[in-house]
Amino acid sequence: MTGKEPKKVTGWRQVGLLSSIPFILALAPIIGFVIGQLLDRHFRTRPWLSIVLLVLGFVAGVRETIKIVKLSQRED
Amino acid sequence: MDQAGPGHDMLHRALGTSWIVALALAAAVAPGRPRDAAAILAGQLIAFLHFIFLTKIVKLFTEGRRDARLPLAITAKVALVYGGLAALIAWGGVGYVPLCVGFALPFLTLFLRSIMLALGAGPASLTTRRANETARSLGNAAKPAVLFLLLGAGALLAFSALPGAAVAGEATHGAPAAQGAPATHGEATHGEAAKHAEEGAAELPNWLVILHDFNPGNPLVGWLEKNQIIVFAWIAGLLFLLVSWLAMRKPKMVPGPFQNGVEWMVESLEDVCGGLLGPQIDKHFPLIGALFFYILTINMLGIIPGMKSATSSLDLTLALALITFLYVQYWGIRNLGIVGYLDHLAGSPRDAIGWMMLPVMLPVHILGELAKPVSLSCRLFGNIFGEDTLIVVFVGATALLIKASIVALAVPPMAGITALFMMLQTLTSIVQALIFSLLATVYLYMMLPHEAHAHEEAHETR
Repeated sequence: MTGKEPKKVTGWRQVGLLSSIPFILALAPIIGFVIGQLLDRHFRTRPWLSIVLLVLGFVAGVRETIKIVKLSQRED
Repeated sequence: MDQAGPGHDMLHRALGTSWIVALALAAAVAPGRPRDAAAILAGQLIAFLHFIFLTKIVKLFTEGRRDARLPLAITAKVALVYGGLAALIAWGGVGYVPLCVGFALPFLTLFLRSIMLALGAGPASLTTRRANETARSLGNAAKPAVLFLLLGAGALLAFSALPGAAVAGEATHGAPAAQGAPATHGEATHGEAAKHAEEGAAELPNWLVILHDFNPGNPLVGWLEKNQIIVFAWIAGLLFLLVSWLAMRKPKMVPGPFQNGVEWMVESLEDVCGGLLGPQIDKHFPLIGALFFYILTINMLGIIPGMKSATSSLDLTLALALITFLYVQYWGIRNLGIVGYLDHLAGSPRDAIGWMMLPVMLPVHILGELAKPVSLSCRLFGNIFGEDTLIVVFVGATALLIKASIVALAVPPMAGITALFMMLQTLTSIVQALIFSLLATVYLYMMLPHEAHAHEEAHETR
């Protein structure tokens, strides 16, 4: 790396980042639901924690998507 | 310049393609299963609405226009997309599988579009004029790709519908068992062969399966066959170490072709990741480089007949993602300190509203952090498993046509298509390894202290 100009990788980075959006959107609520199921079983609160964490998973998915879109638009 | 323009264009094209594929699939299954066709279209419609609303929400967020339209868009999305999905599932009149297929189509086409853009345009920015031109020219390249996708789906449907499909499974997987099993082995061998035949065309037989079919009673071979993912991961690891050792055992100032090739690959990857991490790359390159070359070796191993890609198992990809996740969190704690790390996880609350939102923001942040490595592993697994399955389907279809004595019709085109998929596998092996290591770098970059990033975080909390 010493003394060399680093290559611009905007295209590859954008492809990597943008193609991860579908996975993050789908997986964040699933992870929330699974954790909610485990917590519900432990605290005997079925189905409330599953529902709450499922909704929070949707929020987390959209939030991560917004972060990814912002990051992919940056040129550095 | 409208930053979102090319991205929008790509999304709309992907959505258009997904509609074509959905309509074609629905038309293919409609004569026999009209409900499944309706379920595919319903799934496609819900996913389409999901993307339309998501585009609006992301646009309103990124442009900072948080007016009355934002809650309206969120409410409409929740009601139409999640409400519609829940209503369809609660009704029970549609099958889950066709509904999921329809729902997954826009995601799949969007993913394929982005990969095609990468392969066609190379590392070109999506925000440049060149990318627009490339996207237009890729419209032509997309047509044969969609045709291949439809052909594959058609072959899959036809293959699963044919009554002799199990015979093909036996031909592709159980054949060594049938040839190698002496009559004296009796029922045990028959059971193994039947088990493989039942598994059908899930995968091509590798040398461990063949070895096990010839030695069904050997406990060591049995153990190796049972844990073949670990064995192939070890083989890839040893191969990777051997190549590294051979290349660098006697490093020379004027390198030979082998040393030169390996150095070129390592330096290219270091340049690519260094463009993102900057001077910190020296500290993190051992892990990023190891991830890239290890995944690449594993993926390429699957192309050799008799071998298998260990990345076609979710266990291994999850393990790799877990390593990345723990590494990123470790560096997060090390750089930010335990208090700073917890502050980052809590969404950096600085005012009363921030503290009131803490119970919501903490799980949202944790779920977001967890979703990133899981998405990494699912993508790698999905791609490699999908490629392996496609090759198996075409090899299976060839075997079926040979069984039906249509050799002249079967072998040349099927062998050509299988070879084409193998070439595609080589290409995507490299792309997937690169994307895994690049995204690991991006996640690390998001966790490390960085001036621009810190500025953005501060702006977000304001």
